Amino acid sequence: MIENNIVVQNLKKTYGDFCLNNINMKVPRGCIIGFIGENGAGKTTTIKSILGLVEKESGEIEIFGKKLKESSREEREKIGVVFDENHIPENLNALECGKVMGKIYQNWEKNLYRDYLERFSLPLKKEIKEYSRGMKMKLNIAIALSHKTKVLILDEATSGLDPIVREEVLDLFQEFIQEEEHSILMSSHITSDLEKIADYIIYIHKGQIQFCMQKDELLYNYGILKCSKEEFIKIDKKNVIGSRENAYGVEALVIKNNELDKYMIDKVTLENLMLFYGKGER
Amino acid sequence: MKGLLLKDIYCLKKSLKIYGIIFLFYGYWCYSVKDISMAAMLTFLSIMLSISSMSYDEFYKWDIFALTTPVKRKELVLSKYLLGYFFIIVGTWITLTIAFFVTPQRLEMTWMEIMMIIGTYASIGLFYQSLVFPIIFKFGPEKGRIAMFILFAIPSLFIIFFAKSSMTMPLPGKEFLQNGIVFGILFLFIIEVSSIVLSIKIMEKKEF
Repeated sequence: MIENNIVVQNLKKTYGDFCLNNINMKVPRGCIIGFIGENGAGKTTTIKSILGLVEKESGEIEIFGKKLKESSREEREKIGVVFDENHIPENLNALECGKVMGKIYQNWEKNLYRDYLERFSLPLKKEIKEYSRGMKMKLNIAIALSHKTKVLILDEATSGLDPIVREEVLDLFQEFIQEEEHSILMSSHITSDLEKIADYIIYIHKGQIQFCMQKDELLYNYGILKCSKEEFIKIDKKNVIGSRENAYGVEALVIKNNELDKYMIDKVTLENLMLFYGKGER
Repeated sequence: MKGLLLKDIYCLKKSLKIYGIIFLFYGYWCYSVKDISMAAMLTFLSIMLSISSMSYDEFYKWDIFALTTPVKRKELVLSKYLLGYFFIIVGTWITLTIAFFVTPQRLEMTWMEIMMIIGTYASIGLFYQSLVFPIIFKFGPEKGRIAMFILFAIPSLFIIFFAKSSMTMPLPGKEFLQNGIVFGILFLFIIEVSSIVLSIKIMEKKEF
């Protein structure tokens, strides 16, 4: 039985002066993978490579245990994708969308789709162009979940949504992941969302994976150390990931250990992690 | 592919209504001026509906979503050609219906002559489709429309130049016409197949 729904090995893709290099990641069954990184880090390129929207230069991608190029209709049926923008022609309405998807997907679940539309209070006969941004996202999520989906791939799908809608959507994802065969790969700048629901966090920076760790382990083992500049000089730098000086002293992202117990260490957030990895001095 | 075609029909619902009204207008026009050619020209212009569907796809970046579904790149191409053929067939059928109601007697033409005119315009439509579609797949619908305009302008300028000059062209004989139709159909078939193959190759290499 396959353990991972998606496996990426040594993926490489170059665009001009940007290079996605040596990307290795897995999306295990029953897990939500949070995929974080600053703008232009390579999140969308990685996701597009997984989906076959861009051609990789080298590396292997497997979906449901099959190489991407060998994947059949059966595998494609099981993947639901939501992008940050709606790509469905907006002169269609939700009912027409359902009919189109019913002809595209062999496993289309018409009643489930209608249930989601009702749950999200989406009008059936209104053209999509008249929907708000949140409504368009909900429609895309309804479509993504309505064809016996096993893997959800979300590329900043919750950006631009208000907190109430985001909460609704996150609850839905947690419902989805209750099935042990299901997985979610979710890229997002809204790190608080990932702190709520992700099992693993993968951080990508300038086209390279910096770390891939269990979220709880990450948030438990890392901390934000605050001290004076003189104290910081004395600290063993092997446990310091990144640091920033300010008017009051130094803030540093550290791996917690006994040596640092005497210092004030605050809880870390994924946002801090990104800031220190991305901008902090090493 | 049914899903792709259905999506295009839904996208074009307003345009289809407008085309329906235009056809009605030209049906009346045919009756008034006793000339089928304006209605027949709409058969050729119906390929603009396919190009419009490609404009919608580009505007909404539909292909990005479509390729995350079980739809293959080849199907994205084939569905557009099928849509084009569908519109040309429907345009031809509507024009024939107009001719039937106006009657050949009023048009002062035989059915053979009416079908020749309609068939010629339909063939021109298919020919232009085969030239323009690969350009659209490669460069987008806007450049495709420019290409269409240029490809239309070149023979038009040639005809205007020829009409203004003192040159005369001998009229084709019956045998020439019969052989010409056969060769024309064969030529069109080869052009269509080549166009489809080229468009598929372009789409297979495209990155989104």
